[in-house]
Amino acid sequence: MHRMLHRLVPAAALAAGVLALSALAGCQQPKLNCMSAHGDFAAVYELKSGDPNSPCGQLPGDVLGMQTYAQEGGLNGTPNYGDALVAIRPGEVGALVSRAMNPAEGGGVELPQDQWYEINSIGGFTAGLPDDNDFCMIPDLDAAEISLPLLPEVPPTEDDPMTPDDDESDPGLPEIPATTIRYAWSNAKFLVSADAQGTQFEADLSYTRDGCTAEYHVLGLYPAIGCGSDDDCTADDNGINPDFAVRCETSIGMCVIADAPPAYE
Amino acid sequence: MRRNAWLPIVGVAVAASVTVVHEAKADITNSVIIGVVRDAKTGDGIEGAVVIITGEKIQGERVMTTDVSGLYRIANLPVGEYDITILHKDYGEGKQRKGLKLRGGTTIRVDISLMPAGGDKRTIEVPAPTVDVGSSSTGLSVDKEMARRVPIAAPTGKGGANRSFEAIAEATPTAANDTYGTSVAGTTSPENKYQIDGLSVNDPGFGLNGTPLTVEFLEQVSVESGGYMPEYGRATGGIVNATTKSGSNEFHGGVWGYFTPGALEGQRKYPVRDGSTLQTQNTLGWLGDAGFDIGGRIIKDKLWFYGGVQVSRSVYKLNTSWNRTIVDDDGMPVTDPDTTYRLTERIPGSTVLRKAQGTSVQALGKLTYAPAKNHTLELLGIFAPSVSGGNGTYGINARTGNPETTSLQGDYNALAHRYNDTATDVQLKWLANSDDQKWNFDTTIGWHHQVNQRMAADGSSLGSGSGLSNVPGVIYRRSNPNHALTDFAELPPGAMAGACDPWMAPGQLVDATTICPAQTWSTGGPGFLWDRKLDRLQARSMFTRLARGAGHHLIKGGIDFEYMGYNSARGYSGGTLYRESTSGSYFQDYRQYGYLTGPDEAIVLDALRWNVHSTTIGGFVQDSWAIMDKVTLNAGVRYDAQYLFSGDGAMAMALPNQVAPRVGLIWDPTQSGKSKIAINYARYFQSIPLNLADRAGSGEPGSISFHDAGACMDPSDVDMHTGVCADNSTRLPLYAGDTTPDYYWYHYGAAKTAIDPNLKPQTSDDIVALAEYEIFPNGRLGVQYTHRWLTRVIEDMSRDEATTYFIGNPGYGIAKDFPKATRVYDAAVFFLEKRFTDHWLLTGSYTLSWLRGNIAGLFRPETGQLDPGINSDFDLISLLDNRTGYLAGDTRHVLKVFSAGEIVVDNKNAILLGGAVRARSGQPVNALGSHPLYGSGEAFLVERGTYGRTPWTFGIDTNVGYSHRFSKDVILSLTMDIFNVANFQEVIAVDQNYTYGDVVPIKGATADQIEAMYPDVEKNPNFGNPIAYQRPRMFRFGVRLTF
Repeated sequence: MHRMLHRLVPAAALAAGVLALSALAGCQQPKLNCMSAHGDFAAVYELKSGDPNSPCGQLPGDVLGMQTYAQEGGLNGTPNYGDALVAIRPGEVGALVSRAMNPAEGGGVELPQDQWYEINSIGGFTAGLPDDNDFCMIPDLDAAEISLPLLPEVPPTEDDPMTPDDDESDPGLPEIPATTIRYAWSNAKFLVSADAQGTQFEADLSYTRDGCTAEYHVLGLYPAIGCGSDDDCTADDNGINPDFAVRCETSIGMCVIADAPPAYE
Repeated sequence: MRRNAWLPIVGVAVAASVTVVHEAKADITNSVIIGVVRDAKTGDGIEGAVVIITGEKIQGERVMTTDVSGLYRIANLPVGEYDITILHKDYGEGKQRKGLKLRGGTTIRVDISLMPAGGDKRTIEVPAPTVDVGSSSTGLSVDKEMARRVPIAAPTGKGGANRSFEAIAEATPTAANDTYGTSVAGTTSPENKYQIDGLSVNDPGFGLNGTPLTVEFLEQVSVESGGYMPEYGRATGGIVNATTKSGSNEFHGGVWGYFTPGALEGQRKYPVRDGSTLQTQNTLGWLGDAGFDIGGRIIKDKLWFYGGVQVSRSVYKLNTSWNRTIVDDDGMPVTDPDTTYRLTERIPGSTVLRKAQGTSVQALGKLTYAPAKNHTLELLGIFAPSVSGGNGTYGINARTGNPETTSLQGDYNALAHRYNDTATDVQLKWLANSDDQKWNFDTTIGWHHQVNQRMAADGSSLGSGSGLSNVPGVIYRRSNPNHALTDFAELPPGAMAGACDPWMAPGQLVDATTICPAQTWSTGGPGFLWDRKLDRLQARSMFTRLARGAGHHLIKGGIDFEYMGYNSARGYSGGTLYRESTSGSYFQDYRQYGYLTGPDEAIVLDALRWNVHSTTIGGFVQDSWAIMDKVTLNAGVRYDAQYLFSGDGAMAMALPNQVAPRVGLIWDPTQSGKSKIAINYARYFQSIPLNLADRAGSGEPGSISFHDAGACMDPSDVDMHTGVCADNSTRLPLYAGDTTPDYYWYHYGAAKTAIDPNLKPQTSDDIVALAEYEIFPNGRLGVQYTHRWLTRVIEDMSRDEATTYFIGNPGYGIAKDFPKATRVYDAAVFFLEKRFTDHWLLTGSYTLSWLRGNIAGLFRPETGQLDPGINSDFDLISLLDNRTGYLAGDTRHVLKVFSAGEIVVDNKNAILLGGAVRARSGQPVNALGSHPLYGSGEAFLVERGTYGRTPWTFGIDTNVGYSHRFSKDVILSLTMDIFNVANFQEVIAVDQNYTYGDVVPIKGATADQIEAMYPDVEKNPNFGNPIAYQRPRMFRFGVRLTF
């Protein structure tokens, strides 16, 4: 009996081990949940329809601020990472809102604080995890629209000759007529992997300003890095994944992805 | 150079010392006795001789018959003392060798020559065996004799009060103390595997020793520092194995007490700092422990028991005094011209005595049962609770063994905590041998359980919603002007009233100078609290098989399975830890768990609760092949696969296919067990602690907003905290840019950290070469060389300056643009060991070593960060320069000598003497700067470890004692250990913060150019000055009665 036990126990344990091993074999590293990179994307706009000579048909690109918001529903009060919204906030209109909310820059205008959120476009991912091609989709985002009052000119400031160590000069700001701007984003698509954590983006944009509408296709790259030439975009340590295919878009002075995502060299 | 002892055979005890205290037995079962039985005349091997091993530590006997070459080999023997009896019909009967001492995990060769019947029946040839001829590993084993007689474990730091086994491990030649334990061969202490009776007791969360068992319950502590066989795995550091005592047929036990009084502490040297108002001097109050153990039989030869209890207590004194700034006639602070420190003067009567104290209890019980011949069952249970802090005292940090705080810049309720750190272990072991001793089986199942709690000083725990745990902590730190300390705390009653009143210009009522400033002050609740429950379930089965074929084989194989669980709850008292801005105009949510569900739609969590786990399955096979019985080849391979799982149950990290080859070659030129020359190559894989699955693998959502101090005046007031401070109308805008969707809030960490799909496990390799020779009986001299290097490391990295992270292998895979992680250790060790025989022992080593690279290991010595696999070593591209150089553990020369002896006065009385001498050269010094995101100590301004070295340190510890024997087994001994006899107060650490200003390192900057390379940074006036000195002289008194 004992002799049998000698052989049975290790054999049984070995068998259990092999079973456990084979059950786990083929396990891969986990996929990242759907997300956008958190911060500023450099986006290049390609006009798809609309009058290229109209005021709304001439946007070359922009800086798009993005943030991911996981919803409630995780364990023990934590967020459910598999259920997330993304907000997109364009820099062009963001700068106007900032100015309108700052009495000094707005020339006396002071937009209520809650107007800050009006230009965030928000939409939810269709899935918690990226698809087999590492893409996460947001087919529809809430359109963002804001009406801004006239922003009077802010005159330039001269340097104060009495304070040679400080430069008080300021070019001032031009007058901006009252305007209504609407951003309608759709078909947003993020590349999500360990190597590209929502850092490549493409989407369709319907842009309306004061009744003029144009349709764009947008490619975005995180982070937004300024450039004068392609070499600036491939420099080490600029925060852009060195494996990405990037180029300098001189019209906006920023590094953008060279192709639609996945843009790899 | 063969030295043989011709000894009378029957009934002569060899090398039995008068004070060997018969105690309970050990159960480490991996020692081996081998040898050849020869004809004394012809020298030929004798086939068919029966070799019988008996000893107090094995129930019954172990028998084997010599093979055709006369060789015998008996494996799986516990630590202890044995007798060998040889029987052969042609050579007479009853040849015996007594008193053979066997250490754990060693192979000892005992060759025996027999005279044919009719010759001299009363002698056999017995070489005294000390050299472990079966092993090509390096390390040390400390038996209870050495642990008791040599003052190794100092009454300080981790394990100081209860004399835990990891403190003993420091005696290993290549070992050194580090922040969290004992570092082995250039690694960090969390890389070690800490085992009790062969099963891991590592903290599943962080890798530290989870059961700091006292040496009183141990038969032996052995350290495998390198070149070890595949049966040991899942560690890139050393294997620190504690072997508990067992019962026997005889009743033995002991009662002991140790006491280290603070009153006899030597004069301490205190670092001189820029004068702060509240200054603290820390001294030892007292340390002590008392306990008993007993072992014996319940049923003779069948059922033995062993058990004991030890209680230990640590008391530290934290004496605070108020010191006011000395001002000149214009009200300006007077500074020291050399140091630029502001000068202060102590306010008489302002000294207040506070304490940090803790109590630990350890209870151990063990049953050894032999249900049948060749079968042994062992049941071991350990319960070790430890509590500290509360009731007006501060707590003890269980990880370091030191008081939780030493500067006391804050209210008691904000700085003090109550700790509960409890370890529980249960193990069941089944040992079986086949009748012919050729098969051995060793099957163990075990459970290690830890509870680690940090509660508020009033005992309220995390998330209880009551008491101090419900009160937010606030850190005040306004500069220019500082707050006055009297704004926060009252002058002690003994001090003269008004002693801290601001200085005023004569005749003026304004323009006052604060002479008792508070640079920083913590108030409100206790801040960070945790409630952690950790489990480790293990099942292991091993077999050993003796076989023949071109020599002899000792084949071992086994599988083991391990489940680790980590139930982690953590949070901040009141949900938020606030920090004042340096301008004093606002408070920031400095630490707060929470997240946003939309722009500025904030949810604040009172605590973060994750329950993460990991499974590891592994196996090994190895052969120790004595090729033609001339050369031994140790070869084997180990396989492990570890899978970590997130708080939501999903896979967090997969680390399969850990294939670890090990190969070694050993040659005994004397062929008699008196020498060896060996070389070994090994690959090791690191088991990843669960902190990674908890923090990175489950996400750690945090949120920040800013509160106008004009409205949210006192956030430590719970009503304000939940009222006005929680209202957007008193929050300040982020001003983070036009493109930020949020206006008030910033959030981070609400996601799992990405893992490189091609991630490889963390690995280290080593090559060890060694030579040993027995220069006299029980004494061996040796030299060994170790070359050990990290091959792959798991770390987190960020390309976008801390916005997003991923975990990978730096320099490989998606992190190929990051520098490869390196750590290379080279050491030459010369050692001499004389075991305790003839009333004395000596163990000495000199180590010459180098340690270079860009990562220390599983924690960061520069900042103390302990986040295995996710430390800040490779986090930011802006911090990567100048990180390769001499690592913190780089110590060129280390000398360690341990000795003990006894002078026999008469057959009842003896004087005991022991001593330890240590000398070590200094450690490298860095010039560090602060990083804008990561804070102080993170930027290496010049090449790592090149800003000079700390000085050499010397230490002499002694032990004197007296023992009196009342009867054969009853002995009373009184001992006095003196640590740091000469009270050397050499500097052991200096301030490495060149600046507290934000600075980005400049590649290639050198120490002599530092001022030119960083012209605009504000230099820390304390840079390079001592911040710690050697521990002062301490006396430890002991009394012990054994029976």
